Amino acid sequence: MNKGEDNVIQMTHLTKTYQRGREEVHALRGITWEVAAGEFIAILGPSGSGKSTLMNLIGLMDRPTEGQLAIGGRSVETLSETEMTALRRDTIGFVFQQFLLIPTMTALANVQLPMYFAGRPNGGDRARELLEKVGLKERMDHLPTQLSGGELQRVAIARALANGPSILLADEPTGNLDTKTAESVYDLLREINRMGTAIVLVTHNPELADLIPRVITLRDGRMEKDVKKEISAV
Amino acid sequence: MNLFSIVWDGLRRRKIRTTLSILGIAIATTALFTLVSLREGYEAGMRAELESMGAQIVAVAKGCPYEAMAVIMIGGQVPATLPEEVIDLIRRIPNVASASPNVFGAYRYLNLSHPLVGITREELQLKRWWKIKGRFPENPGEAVLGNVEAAVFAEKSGEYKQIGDSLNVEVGGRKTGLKVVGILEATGSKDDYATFTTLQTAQELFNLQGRVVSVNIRVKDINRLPEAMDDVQALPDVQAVTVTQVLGTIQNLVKTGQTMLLVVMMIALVIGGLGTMNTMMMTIFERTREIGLMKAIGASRGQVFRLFLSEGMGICLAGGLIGVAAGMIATLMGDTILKQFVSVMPTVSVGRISWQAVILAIVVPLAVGIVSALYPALRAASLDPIQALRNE
Repeated sequence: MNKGEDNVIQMTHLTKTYQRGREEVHALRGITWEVAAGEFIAILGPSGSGKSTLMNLIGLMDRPTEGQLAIGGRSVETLSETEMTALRRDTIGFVFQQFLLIPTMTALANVQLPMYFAGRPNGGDRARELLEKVGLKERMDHLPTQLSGGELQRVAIARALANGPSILLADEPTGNLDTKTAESVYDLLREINRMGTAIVLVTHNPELADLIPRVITLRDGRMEKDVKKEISAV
Repeated sequence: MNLFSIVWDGLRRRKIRTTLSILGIAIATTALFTLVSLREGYEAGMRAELESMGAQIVAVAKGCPYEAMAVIMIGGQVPATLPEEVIDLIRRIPNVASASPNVFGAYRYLNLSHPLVGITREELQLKRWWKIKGRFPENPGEAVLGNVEAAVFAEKSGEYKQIGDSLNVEVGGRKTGLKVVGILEATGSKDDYATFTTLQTAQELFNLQGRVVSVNIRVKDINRLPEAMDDVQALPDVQAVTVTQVLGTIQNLVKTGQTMLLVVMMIALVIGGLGTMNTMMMTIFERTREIGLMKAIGASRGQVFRLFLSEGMGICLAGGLIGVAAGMIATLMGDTILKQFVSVMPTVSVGRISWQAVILAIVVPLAVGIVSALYPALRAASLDPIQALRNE
């Protein structure tokens, strides 16, 4: 149903091999996969299955050993490091399990940071707008130490959206949160997805994966399952 | 949000460490600034002082040239004297315009030692800027007081010495009287601190009948100064010193000390730079994850590099600015302190703040900052974001 050019992520026979000492580690053994614009996908798999490697490749932090990878319609193989950085900055938003906010900067400054790196020094208004959207209108000038786990992750999500990415990569975004907070963060991600941002979410948690329309299971660097289902609106 | 606010945020988070690094640079800069300022002030002061002597050549008895110099600069102890006849011999040299004999010594008055200079009217040929209230000492026992000396007497004794007053002074254990016939108006030179009397009076008081300590010479043609100098030098037992030579000798002496100080200062700056480098390395180790994060959210190598280079430069610039401020204070106080420890000092203040020193004290720490932050910043820039994010 999707035409190729609509895919924000397109990979063909993607492999990644590391050298660990004398041993060759085949982290990814040939993955062919695509993500259409606006999709919401969960990646499941035990540790060592290649989830992180895949996320690093999609996140343009690493280069594949073989195969083709296109992010936002651009082939990664021929990009220089500078071009990779720029593409990452403009196309991808990251959300981490440990939030990773700069501890000395306010919520607002944390959200402004990606815009600063993108050469948009006056991102204050957009940052305020985004924080309002994630429900932190009253806590913009708080430091991370003054915020709860759920609030921290909301700031991180606002930061990930700062440069208007087409893909949001979330690595165990609810892994450090209690059930109730995790649910509200999930709801926020759903909402963001509904506005058109594709989300690729890595998780260990099958219950969370159950809520997501497309679930990919990785095992030993290969794609084991790719299941699509209808999810009723919550 | 701008580079400055991010750098400020980085520097602020380890306040003590940042402060200590800044302090290290500030101390080295203060020393550098003070040294450069005082050297300039000293040289300018010395030049002014020698100008105020009026003489271009000074003839003294053969002996240690440094002693001779001390005699000329501060009228110190008399190492050797010349016979009076030498004055006429000097006057006979074709290029000599005037030759003014001096006899120096000290007398005690109000429990203090005061310089006393015996002069003749020839002295007025040299020091055309002298303005004497009252008149020049003509008769035995008459004296002219330098204006500062007069003020010192007033302060010590409670009464301002007027023309016509007498001073009961002591020379070599013998009491004698001096009659004030004039007050020398301010000249801005060491003359303001001296008492002048007739050559004969000074000779008698110091038991130097028929002798003089020095002869101050002005030439007719300044271009033929070397020849005049040779002619004076050729006289028996006479050593001729030109003012430029004195200046040169002093500068050489000062330069030796300065070179040593400069080396010490450079070491201090290197240590300060190493401190900054250490601070920056620790910062980068501590913030490895943040650097990884910055790269993940789109910071380029260049942006990360600039950020940490600026932090290092920020430390050194702050140190430099504090150093300039502290250096200005030290320079102004340095004059007073130096005058207590250095014997050959100009009368005017050497504590003048030079632009050269200000620029040097900002540029040098900045350069130190660039050099010491270069490696840490390069390391930060080249961190692999995946590895950095994994760092705990």
